[in-house]
Amino acid sequence: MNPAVFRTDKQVVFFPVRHHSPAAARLVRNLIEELQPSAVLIEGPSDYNDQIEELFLPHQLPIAIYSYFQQSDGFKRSAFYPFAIYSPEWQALLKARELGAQVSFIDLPWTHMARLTETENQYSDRSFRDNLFIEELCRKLAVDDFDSLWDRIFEIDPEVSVSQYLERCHSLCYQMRHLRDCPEYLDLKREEFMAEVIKTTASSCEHPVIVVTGGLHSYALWLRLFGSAQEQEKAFVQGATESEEIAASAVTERGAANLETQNGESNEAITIRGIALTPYSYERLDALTGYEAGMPNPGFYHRVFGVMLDNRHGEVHSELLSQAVYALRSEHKQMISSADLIAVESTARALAQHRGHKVIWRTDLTDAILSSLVKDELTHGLVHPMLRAVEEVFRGSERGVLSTFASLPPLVHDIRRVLREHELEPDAKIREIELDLRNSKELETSRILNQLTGIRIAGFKLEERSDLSGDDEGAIYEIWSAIWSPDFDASCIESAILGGTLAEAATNKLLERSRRSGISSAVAAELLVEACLMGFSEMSDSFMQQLSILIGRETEFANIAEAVQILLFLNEFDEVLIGKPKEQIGEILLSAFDRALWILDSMGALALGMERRNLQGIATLVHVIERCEGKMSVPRTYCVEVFHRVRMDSAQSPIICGGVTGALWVMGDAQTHELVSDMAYFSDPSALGDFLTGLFTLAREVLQRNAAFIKEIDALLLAFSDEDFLVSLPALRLAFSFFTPREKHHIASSLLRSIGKVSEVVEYLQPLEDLGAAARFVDFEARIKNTITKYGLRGGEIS
Amino acid sequence: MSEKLRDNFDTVIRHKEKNQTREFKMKSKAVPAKVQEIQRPPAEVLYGHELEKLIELDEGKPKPKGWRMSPRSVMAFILGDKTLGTQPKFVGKPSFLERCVIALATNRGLMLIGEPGTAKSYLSELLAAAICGQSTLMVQGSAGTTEDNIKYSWNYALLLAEGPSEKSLVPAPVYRGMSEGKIVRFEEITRCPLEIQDTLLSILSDKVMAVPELPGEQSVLYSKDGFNIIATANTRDRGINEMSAALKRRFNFETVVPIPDLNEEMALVKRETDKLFAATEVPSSLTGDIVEVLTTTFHELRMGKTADGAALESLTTVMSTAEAIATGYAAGVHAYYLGDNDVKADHVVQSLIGSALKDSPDDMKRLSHYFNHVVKKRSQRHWQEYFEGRKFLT
Repeated sequence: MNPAVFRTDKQVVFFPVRHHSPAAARLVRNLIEELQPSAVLIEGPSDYNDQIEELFLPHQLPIAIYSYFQQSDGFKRSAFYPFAIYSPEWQALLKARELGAQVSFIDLPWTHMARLTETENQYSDRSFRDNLFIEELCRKLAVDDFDSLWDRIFEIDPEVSVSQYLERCHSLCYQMRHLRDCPEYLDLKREEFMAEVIKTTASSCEHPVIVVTGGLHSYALWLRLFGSAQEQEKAFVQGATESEEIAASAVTERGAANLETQNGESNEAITIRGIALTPYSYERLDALTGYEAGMPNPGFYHRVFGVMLDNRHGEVHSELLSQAVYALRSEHKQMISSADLIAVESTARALAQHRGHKVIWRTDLTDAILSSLVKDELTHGLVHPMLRAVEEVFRGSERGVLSTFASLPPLVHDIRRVLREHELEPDAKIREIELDLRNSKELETSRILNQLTGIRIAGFKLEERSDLSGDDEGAIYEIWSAIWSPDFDASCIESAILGGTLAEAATNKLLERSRRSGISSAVAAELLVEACLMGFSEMSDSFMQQLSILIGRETEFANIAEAVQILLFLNEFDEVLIGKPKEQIGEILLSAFDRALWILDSMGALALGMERRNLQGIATLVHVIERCEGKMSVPRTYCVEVFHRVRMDSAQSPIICGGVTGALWVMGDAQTHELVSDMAYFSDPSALGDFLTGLFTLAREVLQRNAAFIKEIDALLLAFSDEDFLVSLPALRLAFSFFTPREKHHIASSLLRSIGKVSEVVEYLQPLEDLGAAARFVDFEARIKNTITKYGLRGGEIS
Repeated sequence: MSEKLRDNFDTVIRHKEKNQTREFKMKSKAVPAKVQEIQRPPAEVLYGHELEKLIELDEGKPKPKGWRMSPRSVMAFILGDKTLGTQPKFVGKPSFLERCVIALATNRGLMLIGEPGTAKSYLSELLAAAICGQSTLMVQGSAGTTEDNIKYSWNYALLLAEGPSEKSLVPAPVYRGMSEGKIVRFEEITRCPLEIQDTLLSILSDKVMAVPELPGEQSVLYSKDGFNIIATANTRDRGINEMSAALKRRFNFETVVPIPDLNEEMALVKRETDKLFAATEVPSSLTGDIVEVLTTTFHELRMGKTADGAALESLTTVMSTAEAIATGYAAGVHAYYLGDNDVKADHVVQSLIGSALKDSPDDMKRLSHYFNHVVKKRSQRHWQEYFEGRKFLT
């Protein structure tokens, strides 16, 4: 590494940052102040430069630049460039503006990058984590992870000077990049672009130019502009041209397909594109809760930065500790005595001292709280509630608010556009919208309405929806009402935080709901249906992943079976909800099916009161086999094995045994004689009815037509003493109540026939030859119904 | 421990180092018989040379009162540090160990809790060995533990003949720890009756033990700097919930978690099984493939998650690293004595049944399920061989 890159007395000065590092923010301010540069160039979307003035309006941070586009082929992507008050990029912007220097963003526009990256948060720390060099350095310095490492080297010591910072950060990033096999193709393209901009700017400037970029780019940029040919090592700047193929494999699959098109740009025309400010929140910025976020504990760093600017050292921890304790005492009703507090404070001090921290740092505080206040076992993968409360305090509750002079957040525009397109703009007068979901245009409208209600946009309400597999007439419809509400604008703006487009916001809302703790897989499957109603057939991978995790965690058979049922419906019967990618649903269906079998296999007889739901569940499993066999790799053999095991389990309840026996019989995996012997096993008067209930639920249709089996039941019952018969009667009645009168008649007739009493068989329904008689019947029936209603029987009201 | 015994131990250590533990034949000749009979030397003996070196390097550095070495050296001793020539002995996050060390340095009792087999006792042994050079001041908690076992009792013959005096008093570990300024280990503290646990209250907060039987100044024992207590409690069979709030307050609780990283766990299993084979003179060794199937099984069933993220139901049996090591060791011994000393997947499955499954039929189901669904889908040869071994799971 050439130490020339550290120098601040050159025409172009490179300032490497970790996005959202308060130390970098402080030092970049100092450096700008010191050098009085002509221009400050910042890694950020260069297509925002035209609107850059908007950033200086009186916003309340955190906010983000949000860039989105859609192509004519439907491909759409969006990205965030979030700023907190302590982001070095933000402070560089402010300081440069204060001194009247030119400020501009120099990165490729998002439209040029989107196809080559999956990353949405452009200021995430993704590339910093998972690095060999970092791993080794963490081990060496005995710190847990990259975050602590960074703190240790840059943040904790408030005295770190610009030159120390530059040297440390350049070296760290150089090593990290050096230990990567090959830079990503996208990075090389971006650097090529940035280098070009820097060169042009620098040539026209009298005073120095400061370049503020992510640390990993700084040295590469320096090499491109000032390095000798020899120095421009392959690994840094030339990877792309020499090994296009390796680069291609390093980028995402989708990106790879687009490599042939220059710069990752597609030939498809961009139909929608926009870039605007949007409010952000510390919750999304926090690596512990946010998606692809930057540093953990933004609230902590926020305070550190504030303290740093005012030169009040060492006050952060006591402020935060008292906040955390206040939260624990008041919101979480924890007893924390003064002695406990002393223990926390002294432990934190000792930890800081031991770790060589000049001030008590966030990890010292959390570790001290963990050590002296938490008296429970910690479960792997779960955060202790007390720690979660502390994390909340460290996260900070700041939510961005855009200045009223700023253009509206993109979501508001998007919602307005969508409403206009679908002629849904609400009026002061309520209007009803009836939609036939089989009509593709109206289906599209329904999806929009579902998305709107999904993120609670005021004024839209679902009044009625038919059974989604079709009502009596086979129609699938929804009826909505829409009215203009005074809360309409506010609800749109508030939801802006969820995303830049309606679809994105609705997806995020769904994700948020699916992450709530304690939801069952059945609820999760319902969420999936909601997602389908919203038209997110190509749901993000993470959403599907969430669902499969919940399915994997389910322990209640009835719940998982309900989930299977919903998934089966989506996979098999649904016409309107899902467009193409049934494979995904199929995959989840299979895993839920698998899980259901697993739970069934280990389910004890304890599930009292759940019998009906459990039987329904077994029936659902049989449906899956019937419907999906041949189309998907349903593990039929495994299913049969499990059913057999449950059937043979002597500890299992008769009703479930009856259920699985019935299931096996329907599937053709059990012979009638096995059925008979099973029944003999349950011939105890107290068990027989339950067993038959299970059996009939599963094998209703097949059993009533099997005369031999009915004869066996008859024989068994005849063998009962009168007393036994009375004992078994209630359960038997229940068992036979599954059959309709006509079915019961059929059973009775076949029994009579099989014992040779053919003459006693009466036809259930006499063919009606006389139309007049038919009319009289109908009339009679109507009168009965009237009478029933009149006296309030069967739930009718007394008239 | 007498100086002589200590020298003998040192001979063993030096010898072991020279010959690298796997040379079995040599060992039996050169070592005095008396020492060799000790099945398991304590950490301060086993790693005596490392401790000495660290103490030497710590010369002049600030140390907590009564400690033999600085907290940083304690960390280096336990987590291992290549530059200082210490081997890693315990796998865990640095921040976790820092919390433990700092708890002890700030004179708060340290309570290590966690599933069985997560090396709680071993960690407390290492801490005691590093901090005060003695890990043998230990109280084993059980339903039968009495105050006598903790504080002191009497030599009744002397007591009757001469009355109560320091001479007739028989010190128990806590008494000794206090008077000598050492760390006392209290194993399985939650197994003691509550009122027995609570004898520690004044000892932990005031660092004082009353000996009312002795006259005058002798009736109060003030602890010397360096005294502290490391307790361990198993969260599986009898929880920490019953412990009195007063006692809880006096301890810092730290959960010892199972090793989260599969690769680290595999390395540990390999290292420890080799040690066990060497110690028992079984010239066996587990191949990488066997270590992989063994450790992965334990790891996945414990975490309730497969390597590719699919959820599993974890077993009710403890699937700790210690159990994995025991299983691997059993498989090796099986192959050596009853087979051709080639440890195969079959041996692992059979040992799994004995050492891991205990008596739960539900666990058997879950394990079968694991084989049918997870193992079966892994196409590499060793996994397929392992899958074949499921015939023993009946």
